[in-house]
Formats: sequence, C-alpha cells, structure tokens
Amino acid sequence: MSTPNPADRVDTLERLLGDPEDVGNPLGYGPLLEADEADLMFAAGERALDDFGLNAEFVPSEYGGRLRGLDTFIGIMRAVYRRDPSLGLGYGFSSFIAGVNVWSAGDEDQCREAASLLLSGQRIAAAYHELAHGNDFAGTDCAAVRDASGRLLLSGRKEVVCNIQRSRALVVLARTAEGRGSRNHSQLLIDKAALPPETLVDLRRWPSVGMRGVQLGGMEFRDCPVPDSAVLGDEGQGTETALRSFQLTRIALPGMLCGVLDSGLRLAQRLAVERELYGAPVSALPTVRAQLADAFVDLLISDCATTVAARGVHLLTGQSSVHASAVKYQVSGHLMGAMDSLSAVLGANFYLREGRYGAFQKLLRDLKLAGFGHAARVACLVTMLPQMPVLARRGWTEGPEAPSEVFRPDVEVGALPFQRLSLFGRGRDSLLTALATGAERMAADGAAEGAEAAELRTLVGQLLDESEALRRECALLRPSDIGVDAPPEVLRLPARYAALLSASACLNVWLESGTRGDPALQDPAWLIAALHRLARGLGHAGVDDIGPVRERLYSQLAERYEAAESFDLSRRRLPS
Amino acid sequence: MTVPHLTPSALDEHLERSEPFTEPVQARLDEAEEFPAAACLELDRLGVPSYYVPQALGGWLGDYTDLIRVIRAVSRKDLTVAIAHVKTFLGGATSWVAAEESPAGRTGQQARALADRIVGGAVVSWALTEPGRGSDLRSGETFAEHTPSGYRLSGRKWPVNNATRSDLLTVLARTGAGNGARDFTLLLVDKDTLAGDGYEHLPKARTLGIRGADISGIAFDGALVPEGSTVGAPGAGFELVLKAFQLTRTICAGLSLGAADHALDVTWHFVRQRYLYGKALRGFPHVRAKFGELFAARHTVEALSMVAGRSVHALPEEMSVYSAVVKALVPEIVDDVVIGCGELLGSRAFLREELRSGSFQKLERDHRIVGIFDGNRYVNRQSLIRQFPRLGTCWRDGELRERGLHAAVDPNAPLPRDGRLRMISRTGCSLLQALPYAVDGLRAAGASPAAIRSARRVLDLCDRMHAGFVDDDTRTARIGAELFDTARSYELCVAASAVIHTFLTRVGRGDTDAEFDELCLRASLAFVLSRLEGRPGAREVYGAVADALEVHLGQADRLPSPMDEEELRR
Ligand SMILES: Cc1cc2nc3c(=O)[nH]c(=O)nc-3n(C[C@H](O)[C@H](O)[C@H](O)COP(=O)(O)OP(=O)(O)OC[C@H]3O[C@@H](n4cnc5c(N)ncnc54)[C@H](O)[C@@H]3O)c2cc1C
Ligand SMILES: Cc1cc2nc3c(=O)[nH]c(=O)nc-3n(C[C@H](O)[C@H](O)[C@H](O)COP(=O)(O)OP(=O)(O)OC[C@H]3O[C@@H](n4cnc5c(N)ncnc54)[C@H](O)[C@@H]3O)c2cc1C
Repeated sequence: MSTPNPADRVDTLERLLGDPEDVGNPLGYGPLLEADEADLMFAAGERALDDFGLNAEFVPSEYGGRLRGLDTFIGIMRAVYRRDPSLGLGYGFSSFIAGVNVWSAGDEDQCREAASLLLSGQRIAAAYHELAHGNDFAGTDCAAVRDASGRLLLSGRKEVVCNIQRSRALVVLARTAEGRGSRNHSQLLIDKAALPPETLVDLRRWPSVGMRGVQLGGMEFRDCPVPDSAVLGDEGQGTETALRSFQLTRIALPGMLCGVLDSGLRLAQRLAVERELYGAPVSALPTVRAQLADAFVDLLISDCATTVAARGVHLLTGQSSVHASAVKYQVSGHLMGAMDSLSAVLGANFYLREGRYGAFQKLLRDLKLAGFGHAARVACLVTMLPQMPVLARRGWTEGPEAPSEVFRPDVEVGALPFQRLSLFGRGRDSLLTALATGAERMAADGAAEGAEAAELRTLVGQLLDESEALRRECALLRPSDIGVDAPPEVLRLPARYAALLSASACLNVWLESGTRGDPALQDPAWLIAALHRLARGLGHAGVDDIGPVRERLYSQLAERYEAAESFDLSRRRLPS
Repeated sequence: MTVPHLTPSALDEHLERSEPFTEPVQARLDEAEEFPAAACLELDRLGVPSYYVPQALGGWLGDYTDLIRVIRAVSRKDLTVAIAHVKTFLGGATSWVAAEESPAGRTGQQARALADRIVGGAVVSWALTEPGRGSDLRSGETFAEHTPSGYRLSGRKWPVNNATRSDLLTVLARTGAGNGARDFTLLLVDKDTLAGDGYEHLPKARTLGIRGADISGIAFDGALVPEGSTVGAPGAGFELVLKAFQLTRTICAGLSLGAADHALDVTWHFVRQRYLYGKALRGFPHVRAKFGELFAARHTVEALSMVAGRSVHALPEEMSVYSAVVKALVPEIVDDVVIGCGELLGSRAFLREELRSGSFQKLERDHRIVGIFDGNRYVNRQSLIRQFPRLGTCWRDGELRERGLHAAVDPNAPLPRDGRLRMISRTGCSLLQALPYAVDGLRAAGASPAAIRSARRVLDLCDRMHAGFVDDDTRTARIGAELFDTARSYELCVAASAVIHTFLTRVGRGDTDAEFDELCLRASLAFVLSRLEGRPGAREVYGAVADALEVHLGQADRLPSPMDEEELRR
C-alpha cells in the first residue's frame, strides 16, 4: 500500500474536515457543538474519520498501518483536536493507547490481531482505571486469578474508561499477584466477542463537564474466563509495560491538545478584529495584543517541547521516560494558562455557548483533561523525581550530544522503537545538555544580531544559571526525598527541569530553523518571548522590556490569522 | 415590617437545611437549564430582598459587610441562585445613590416606592449592556426621546440578567446625541405600566455556567415610559451608574467568597477521605502545602473584602479605589483558588455526577462569570490606572483619613454615617497609604520575623511602584499593557495592607486564636508576595496552615473565617 507523505495526509484530513467556522460546513462548529450539548459523539465527524481511515494511523507500518513518526501522528491528530477534542479523544485515542501497549509487549499474533481489528475500523479500549485508585496503579484491584483447572478468571471493575462499551477488544490491567509490588499486575488483550457475554457487564456512563461526547463507561468482569494467550508479554510485566508505553501517550496527548490552543487563539483574534470598542477594533488595545502574543508564545513553547520530545523517542533511544513526564507537566500548564487568559480577552463572549465564538467555551472545557488525564501533573513530577539525582551527577554534564534532526520537524524519522522504550534513562539526557551546546552555538554563529543577540544572551545566561543551580540541588537529593511523600520544594526541582527542557527545545528548534530557511521561525522574536516567559516562570528577571517583542509577535499572529495559517510550528495553510 | 430580621449567619444556617439548596436539586436544575425558582422563593420568604434596600428606605441594609455576608452565604450554597437573586440589588443601586444625594422630592419618593416593591419581592434588572458594545457604555444606542407625556424608548439591551423575569428594569438610555457623560439618562421602567406595549423579551442565552439563570434581553420599540420615571436628573445617568458601580462591584466580593468557601469545603473534605498509595491525600506534603496556599488566598481576599465593605461607610470618598481593587482582584484570585482546588480533585472536578452531585464543576463554571459582568478586570484596572497620578501624590504625601481608616479596618469600631461617594478619590487610598505605620506596628503586635520581612518587601515594592505613577502614561487613550500589570500589583498591595490591618485589630483582643492569626498573616503575605514577584517563594508556611487547620477543626467541616467570627461575636 502506498502511503502518502505525512504532510499530505494532514492536508487531506484538513480538507476533509473543512473550515470549522464556516456555518455551512456539516463538520463545523455548529453541528459539533450540538453533539456536545447532547453528550453525544459527533457522528458526522466520526464518519469522516472512518472515511479517512484514521485507525490506520494507530497501527505501525510493519503491521499494515501508517504509524511511523510520533510527531507525525501528533500532527495528524491535531487536525482533529483543533476542531473537536472530544472527537479526537473519543474516536480512538484509547485505541492508540491500547495499541502502544500491544506493540510494546505483545507477541506477533497479538500484534497482528490488534492490527487487523483496528484496520477493520473497530476499537480497542484501554482499561486501566478504577475509581478507588486513580493514579495509583499499584492499587489496581481488578484481578485475573487461576482456578483449580489453571484457567485465568478475570473479576473486578474498570471505571471511567473511554469507549469500553463500544469497543471490540480491551487491554485490561489486572492483578495477577497479591500486594503492592511492581510485578503484581499483568495486561490482557481480550476480544469481547470471544468471551461469554454474561461475564462482561457494562456499567453506567459517567457524564463529564468537558469532552462531553466521549463515552466514559465501565465494565464489571464476573469470573470472565480469559485464555492464556491474552497475556501481553510475561505475567507480572503489566505495570512496567504500561509505564513504558505511557511515555509515548503522555507526549502525544499534550502535543495533540496544542490544536485546542491553536483554535482558541483564532477565535480570540477573530473577536479582537471583528469587535469594536471605544471606536476601534478591540485589537487596538495594547493589553489585548499582549495577551494574544503571550498565548501565541505559549503555543510555540508547547509545540517545540512536544515535537522535540516526540522526535526524541526515535532519536534518543531510552531517554524518553523523563522527557515524557516533563512535557506532560509543562505543556499542560502552558495550554491551560493560555486558554484561561484568552477567555478573559473574549469576555462575555467566552461565557456564551452560542454565537460566533460559542466554540471557545467548549475548547476550554475539553482542555481540562490536560491537567489530570493520563497522569496528574503532580504525578508526573513524582515520576521524574527518582531520575533527577542521577541525571544531575552525570546526565547534564556528559550527556551524548543530540543529533540535530531531533530539532528538525522537517526531517522524517523512522518507525517507532516500541521494544527499546526504557523506564530509566540510565543517566543520559541529551535534551537538557543541548541547552548549553545550543548556547555555545548561538554565540558562535551569530544567528541573531544587535539588541536581539544581547537579549538572547541575557536570557540564555539566566537559564544556564538556573540549570547549574538545579544540577547542584538535584545532586544533593537524598533517597528519602524521593517518592510520593516528597515535600513541595523537592517537587519544584522536576518542575524547574521541565521548564528548562522546554527552553532547550525552543532554542534548538530556532537554531536549526536557520538551516532550512523557514522565515517564520528564523525571526528571533518568538524565541526571545519564549525564553523570557520560561525564565520569568523560573523566577528570573527575563529581559527588561518585552513590550516591542510582544508587538512584533502580535503582528506575526495577525498575519497568520489573515492568511488562514495555523499558529503552531507547522504554519500550515488551513481550509477557509 | 412583617418579616423578622434575619442575620447572615441565621441565613447561612437556614440554607444548610433547605431542600431547594441541596446539591442534587441544584444539579438537576443546572442540567435542565431551569431557573432555580424554588430557591429564589425561599430567599424571598426569608426576607433576603430587604437586604437589597437601605435602612433609610425601610430595608435591612445598614452595614455593607452584612450584604456581602448574605451574598456569600447564598453563593456558598449555589452561585446560580445568588447571581439570579442578588441582581435586584444591582437593579436598585442607582436609585439608592440618587436618593442619598437628594432624599427629598420626587427622587426620594420614587426610591421609596421601588424599595417597597423590592421588599415585597419584585425583581429588578439593571440593563446597561447592548449587543456588540460590551464595556463601552458610551457607545450605547438605546434612545429615550422626550415626549410631552414622558419618554419613548427604543433599543436593545442584551445580555441582561433577569431581563425576562424582572418586574422592573433600570435602563441606561441615550438622551443626547454626543457621547459625553451627560448624554445619558437612567429610566426606571416598570413593565406593568408598559402593559406589554412597545417591548419584547430576547431569548435566553445559553451560558457556560449559571445555566439556569435568566440571561436574556429586552428590545424596546417605542415603549412609552411615563414622565417621572428617570432615576435622578436627566443627563445624570452616567454619573449615577459609575457611583453605583462603587457599591455593586464591592458587594460582588460576596459571590467570589462564597464560591471560594464552597470550593475549599469540597476539597478539604476530599483530601481527608481520598486514599492513594496507602494513605489519605491530606498526608502528602504537597497536598498540604497546596491546600494551605489556597486557604491563604481566601484569607487575603476576605480581609480585603471586609475592609472594602466597611469603607462604603467609613471612607466613601475613596470607594472609586476600593471597588475597583475588589472587582478586579477578588474574582481573579478566586478563579485561581477554584482551579487549584480542581487540581487536587483531579477527575472529580471533571465528572458531572461524582463527588457531591458534581457541585464542584458547577461552581467552577458558575464563578467564571463573576470576573466578567458588572465591569470586567480591564475596565476596573483602567479606572485605577486613571487614578495613578493622584494615588502617587497621596502616597508621597502620606495622606490619611485616620478616623475613617480606623473604622474601616476595625470591625468593632462604630460605623460613621457621613460622607458621599465621589467619582474620584481625592485622598487616594488611605488603607494603602497607612501601610508604613501598620508595618511598624507589626513587631509590637507579635508578628513573626518572617511576616515582618514579607511586609517590608511589600512596602519596598509600594515605594518603587508609586514612584512610577506619572501623569502622561494614564492620559493616553490606549493604556499600555504593562500598566495593567502595575494595576494588579497595586491591588495586591492594597490586599496586603488589608491583611495586615485586620491582623492588628485582632491582636490582644483575647477572643481570637493569636497563633493562628499570626500564621494566617504570614501565609497571606507569602501568598501576596509570590504573586507580586511572580515566583513561588517559601512554601513551608502553607503546610503549617494545613496542619493548624486540622487541629483547629477536628472533625468539623467548616473552615475558619474571620468574617464569620466577627458576625458570631456580635
Ligand atoms: C475524558 C476521560 C477519559 C478517560 N479515559 C480513560 C481510559 O480510556 N482508560 C482508563 O483507564 N481511564 C480513563 N480515564 C480515567 C483517568 O485515567 C483517571 O481519571 C485519571 O487517571 C486520574 O485519576 P483521578 O483524577 O481520579 O485522580 P486521583 O488519582 O484520585 O488523584 C487525585 C489527586 O491526588 C493527587 N495525586 C495523584 N497522584 C499523585 C502522586 N503520584 N503523587 C502525589 N499526588 C498525587 C493529585 O493532586 C490528584 O489530582 C479517563 C478519564 C476521563 C475524564
Ligand atoms: C451571564 C451574563 C450576565 C450579564 N448580566 C448583565 C446585566 O444584568 N446587565 C448588563 O447591563 N449587562 C450584563 N452583562 C453584560 C456584561 O456586563 C458585559 O458583557 C461586560 O461588562 C463586558 O463586556 P464584554 O465582556 O462583552 O467585553 P468587551 O467590553 O466587549 O471587551 C472585550 C475585551 O476587550 C478588552 N477590554 C475591554 N475593555 C477594556 C479596557 N478598558 N482596557 C483594556 N482592555 C479592555 C478585554 O479583553 C475584554 O474582554 C452580562 C453578561 C453575561 C455574560
């Protein structure tokens, strides 16, 4: 099967879905808001994604699908999230999550089974969560126990799981040994159709405030007989498989959700140019322009961080565990903060569920998932913590240099290395190291000039100081500081790391953009604004007067808006 | 009066047991976008509308902090109900201002008649906004043409709270051709006298929160409003609106405080009963620190709101400052408190039926409107910025209205009854201008070195900030973005001063928990500083707050609040 290149696929999907603001578009905001109001998945949207064959994007190319680069996958999904995050999540993100676990730990038969199921347009649910245990996987009660004849019998409940009712198959995390140890759970890939129906009982639906269309259900297993061939990998390997696989999905989720901010920005800018206030467009108010510019910067930081982390999965083998949690933490903060700030720009229009800007409030509600979904933000920090001392002692001083392709979204990466995902970076971290090497390079090639070069030097200086301080503090961490009991100052350490990682991503993406003549990215305005924002968030002074840079960024945003281009790194032409 | 006087705390207790205020009922109405009629009726029955009417006109409204308390008590239960009901105070406010300025004659009579209607349960709307024109009230195009028998009114007002359900509306209409302040007049429109002629209601808007509320509009098409319906003099509309804002924007604090109470109550309960990794969430240091910080945030806005409420009486000439500070800052901080609580609640802030019938996700949506209506934060910050030059001078001169300030910060001081609202405060902000003295008093009052250090940092910042208040910046039509940041800093400094003054008045009284008071002072100042300086700062103090709360409360549910205490003591 010939697969069109990724950029063409995004364009095809964009065209298929059309301009969401076009009132005549059956796939536009009007109809999709109606579905949202009714707590329904957007049926016309799902049909369009069926036509596009979106499920093939969840299946690795070696099994007949189109999944290769993680950043490519994110880019394609962003086209859906840009319009309707519920559709993005509810159509098949759980199929993707379940799939990743299968591709990482499953045997050839299991992979083929999952692939053929997805390629035939069916769904796999990812059933991990139980209300009683939330983020605490080790508490999982749902159990698969062998009876006298040696058969595995599954019993217990999974709750608040996307698509569990309408899926054909499930990946279930189940206890296979007593206690809280890390090797007490296994993952099972089960085909609902092959099991006695009376042993699989659907629970009620959980309605939600955002992602209203998404079908959150549950299932009670009543001594459900599961064949041994359902176990993914070895028995007892379930938690590890999940945590390894979640590296990909924790990067993908915020990466896709960047589409929400992209649309939020478009709606806010639309109001700013369309609405008149005090005898001029709202956009004439400097504070409005400043807030729009800041949100634009938040989007660029988020895109740089997730794109680089996604490419790192391919190109920095084994290092991604800490990057994934960092990105999930940092980017969710930028996205939610920016949308809150834009809501203030929209004013009363943000509060209405109808009218020209009525989609904004839905995007804002849907985005809430970024905070707690697929790991609470604080759980991400706790996950990173154990690696901090090791990285401080070695990783941030002697990390192998990152290949430049990590920072070049224009270069295609190969297939995803599912088997080489590792839970521990073994003390290597090329991404934070790249902050220092990037700084040297910036000084050496003089990519910026004059006042801008000076501002960049100031900012990078502050960030390097921070990175040095962080290294010293992390090296002093004691084992007793590390764990769910960590005090807040200790949890600040991985949070600071996450900001520095994002800074490194921005700096290096900018440096590399020079080599491919992307004028939008070459202008250092966005980089100055991004580093300023990150430095300020870390308690540094940033540059003295960010005003002019903000104004320049606002003009760039206004230009993109006029030209119907996306606000993320891709600066893609959108249907209009 | 036939209904007995109801104290805010009695109201609070009553609502605790009232069927229409229970969470499942609220949830059902919210889902169905149905007006909370039973709850509003209950408030009517209890006499709450009397709180919307000044005592001089036969109501119960004396001390404005009591009105804030009443609103807070209702909001804590159900913000939709509070917003729907309290709107009548907003509808009446311009009439109260007008009557205070000229109590005799027609104006006074009209206000008394309106007062009677409100006490009797009439719903009054305040119709300022027009479609597409938002905050820019001077671009309004609702015309009131003077005719021999009164006014012929045409134009659309939207969105307006209770536009459809109301019996009367106070309408801002253009009576002049220009866009000067004197081109606008307020009309008190009684739907009864229009007898269904010349107007129609615009459909209910579908909103993110307060889904049950009647957010609709009204279109006048040559409606004939009888002579004698103007509120105050013709041409006085704008000034009356701006003065009334000084009252309405101040009492909006009650909406935010109630929302914060509700959010913190739900969260406190949750972190105590939710077990993860083998223990209750409250056992995790970061959870304790986060909760302590959220509590400190509420303590800060509570202190500010109390002082601002008392200032209506004690420093009325300075209300142009306090009302703007409150309306810009309090909803913004409380939105963040709610977000912070949501972060602790995780998916339970997202699921519509989990955890107390989803009351948290409802309150989160509901509260978002508080920062938008009745003047959003920009409008309020702009009005502060315009006063910067004067505020700078008053700071340098150490201008103080001592007696007024004393009455404003000390809940035990008698409330003065003189003075009038002014468009601009000539004496700046006495509360902030007294900060240097208050900081000097901290040591003797037993404040910890950490609190004193924080207070001094706020003071230094005030010096630097005021030095930058120059005329030219604020005269321009389009104010620079940085000045809006400065306005926020200004508000935070005023809040810090309120916190410090509140602490000082409680010292040595013997009936308060001095240690806990000091902890709240320290935590609130840490909170304000972290906002002012844009970095987290030291967080140990927040954990200590959570620890103290646990000791303080035992198994009780209600988090301590100085405002509650003051009332109970009375
Ligand atoms: C739209 C949607 C789709 C979903 N889809 C699926 C799905 O397909 N499959 C599935 O299995 N589940 C799914 N879920 C469930 C989801 O995974 C859980 O809701 C999520 O894991 C979070 O659990 P919780 O919020 O209940 O948090 P809890 O774990 O109860 O956390 C509560 C709070 O405790 C604190 N906390 C949590 N962890 C830590 C830690 N490690 N250290 C310190 N503090 C901590 C945090 O403050 C957190 O907010 C979905 C949920 C939603 C809303
Ligand atoms: C639920 C609800 C109930 C309402 N109830 C009533 C009611 O009962 N009566 C009534 O009259 N109105 C009511 N309104 C209208 C409300 O008061 C106005 O919407 C509000 O005052 C501000 O208008 P806006 O949000 O449309 O913003 P706009 O004024 O249009 O402003 C748009 C954006 O421009 C910027 N901006 C505006 N002014 C400035 C400035 N001075 N400086 C810098 N930036 C600025 C801000 O970013 C703002 O968000 C209600 C609205 C809602 C949503």
